[in-house]
Amino acid sequence: MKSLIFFELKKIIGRRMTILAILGAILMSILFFIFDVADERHFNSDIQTLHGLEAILFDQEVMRELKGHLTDAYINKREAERAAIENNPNNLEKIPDKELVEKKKEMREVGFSETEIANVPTMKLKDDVYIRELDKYDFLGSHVGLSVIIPKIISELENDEMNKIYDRRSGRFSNAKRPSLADKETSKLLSMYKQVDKHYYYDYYFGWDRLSASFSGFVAIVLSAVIVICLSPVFSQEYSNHTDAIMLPTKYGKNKVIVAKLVSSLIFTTAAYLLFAAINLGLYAAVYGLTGYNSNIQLDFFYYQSPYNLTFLGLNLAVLGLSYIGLTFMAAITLFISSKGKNPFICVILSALVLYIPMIDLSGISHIADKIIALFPVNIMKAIEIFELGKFYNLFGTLLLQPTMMIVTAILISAILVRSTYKSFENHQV
Amino acid sequence: MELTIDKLSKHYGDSIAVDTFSIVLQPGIYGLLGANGSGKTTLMRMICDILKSTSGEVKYNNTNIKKLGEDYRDILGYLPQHFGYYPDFKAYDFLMYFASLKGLPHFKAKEKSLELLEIVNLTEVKNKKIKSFSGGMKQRLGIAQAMLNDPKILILDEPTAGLDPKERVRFRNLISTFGKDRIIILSTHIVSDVEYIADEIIVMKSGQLLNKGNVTQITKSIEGFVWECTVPSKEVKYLNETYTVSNLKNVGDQVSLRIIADKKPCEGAVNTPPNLEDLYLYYFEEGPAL
Repeated sequence: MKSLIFFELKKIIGRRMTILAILGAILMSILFFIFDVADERHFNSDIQTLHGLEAILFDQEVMRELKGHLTDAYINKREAERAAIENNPNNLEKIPDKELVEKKKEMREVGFSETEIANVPTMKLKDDVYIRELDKYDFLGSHVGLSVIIPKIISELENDEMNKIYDRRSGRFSNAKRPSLADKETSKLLSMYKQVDKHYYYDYYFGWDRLSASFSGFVAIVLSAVIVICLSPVFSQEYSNHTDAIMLPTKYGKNKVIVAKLVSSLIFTTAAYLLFAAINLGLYAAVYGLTGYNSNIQLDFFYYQSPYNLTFLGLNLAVLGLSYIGLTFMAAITLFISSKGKNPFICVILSALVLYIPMIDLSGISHIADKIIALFPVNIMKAIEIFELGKFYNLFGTLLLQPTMMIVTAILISAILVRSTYKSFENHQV
Repeated sequence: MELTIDKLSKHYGDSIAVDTFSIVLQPGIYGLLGANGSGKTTLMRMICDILKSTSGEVKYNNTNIKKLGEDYRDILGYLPQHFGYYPDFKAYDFLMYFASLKGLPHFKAKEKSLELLEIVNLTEVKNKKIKSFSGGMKQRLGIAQAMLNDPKILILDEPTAGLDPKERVRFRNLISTFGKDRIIILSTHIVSDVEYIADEIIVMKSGQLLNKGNVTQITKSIEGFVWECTVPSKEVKYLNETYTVSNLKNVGDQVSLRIIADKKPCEGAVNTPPNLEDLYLYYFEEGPAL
């Protein structure tokens, strides 16, 4: 069996398309990273725009200066520092009336009380003061947000006002259909929010944040395409090369060689995944550093309503695990299509359709359709989006969190597809 | 050792490729003769269990080959009509891969691969990629892979296609020496490939077994139907259009013809002992079915 697996691996790796695909993916991985770094921007205290590495180093310095657990004492100290800057008359100017009206309207939409709205200041900071001195205290919004948002969400759930969580979402997510939760789901969500750590650890976490976002996107769009290209010929090329006619009548042609093909495909998928995980981790660690691994994800604006009590390290591990599962799920689909197809090129096209079509956003059309399409491999691979909010699936009365449901679906369907692939080649007629 | 083909049929919709074909084969070399489309390849694929029959069965030592599964495939060697290969594989690696598929342990696989490369005269190019091979070289490699596991049943579908005369002679001699205590079924259009080495000839037409027997027995069936005559050139066109002419040779200002016909084709024609080629032409060049 070992020699069969070796030869099947050799067949996969030895193809010109495999080498080109891997090299192309390495190039794209590096390019994505370069774009990420080049996109970094910050103003220093002299209101000069810093780009790329300079911006990263500046951010690191500022955030590490303020690192620590967001205990009450810490918050009070930083709030006092910020208040001193905000209340310095030299830093203030009057807010125009029109602007004041707009601000009050926004506060109402977000959910601030009338008392809070009435007490909004009429003086504002001069534009350059924020950039010069206050920007670094923005993270305190997370804690303030925490003291308001998480308890606010808990209150909303207890009052059956779940939709307000969705109302606060921005961008393309703001148009998502609102779910209606059963009592069990509300109860589960409540317990998750109550477990979210109250005292976040603040540190420079941008490296971990960029890594998880970039890597999950890379796996979903690029690495999955590499796997589709490299695995589509595993079975279909035997048909197009006419080697099926000499392979099937051999002793192991209808059993062990099929297992060897499946195992070698898994080995290749795993090796490719680990290679690119290592490349990405190496690149981001080298430039952004590894600090902030134990900072809570709720510090980031995308996750501020997340019920998952995770640090950025936990998030990255979850992303690693889920994107790997999504990738192997896609590999199983590709192998199944390959076992049915007569031509590797057609198999690549069909597999690519199965891969990319579920990227269509159905959240604005139907909540149910959105939940179903979320179980497709590409959406499992885009793992970072899973942790923004808590979503549940009701599987025959058992409540499963979205990541769990994705894992269960991927494993079950992959098992069915692997068996079907086996039978398909075993029963292939020349 | 016995291979039984029992009322084997293969239908593709309304078209019948193999029609209730039955035969019992014991160790020996069998030449399977038939025109294009007569069902030879379909029959061979069913014997190799890579094509499902519509009805009937193939049995090895009285056990259905589907039940035997891996045990049957272990004693089988097959070279298809269109030999598939991996272009970027080297010849030696190709044989090692198929040796793995055939269950040969590594040491034995190495030994056997090198031995067969020597036999088929590919030792010097064993480390070259198959895509650089000529058609004949690829065919020889195909023959080598079919023999890797010392098969008890060897099925060869037009194995000499692409081989030059010298290589065909080598192949014939190889099969002859290999044929002891094995069942070898060889399909071909090149009658000389089987005429001298086949123990039995099987003639297939329209999916059916037409005739079988050794060369002497089978050619006896058309005794009296093969004629030789020498005629003036101006008569050749008429004879060519009216009868099946198996050979035509200019002799001075006359033409010597070998004709296959039910009755005497022309004045001066004499019967001559038939050969296998005559038989082939008799059956497949508008000759009557027996």
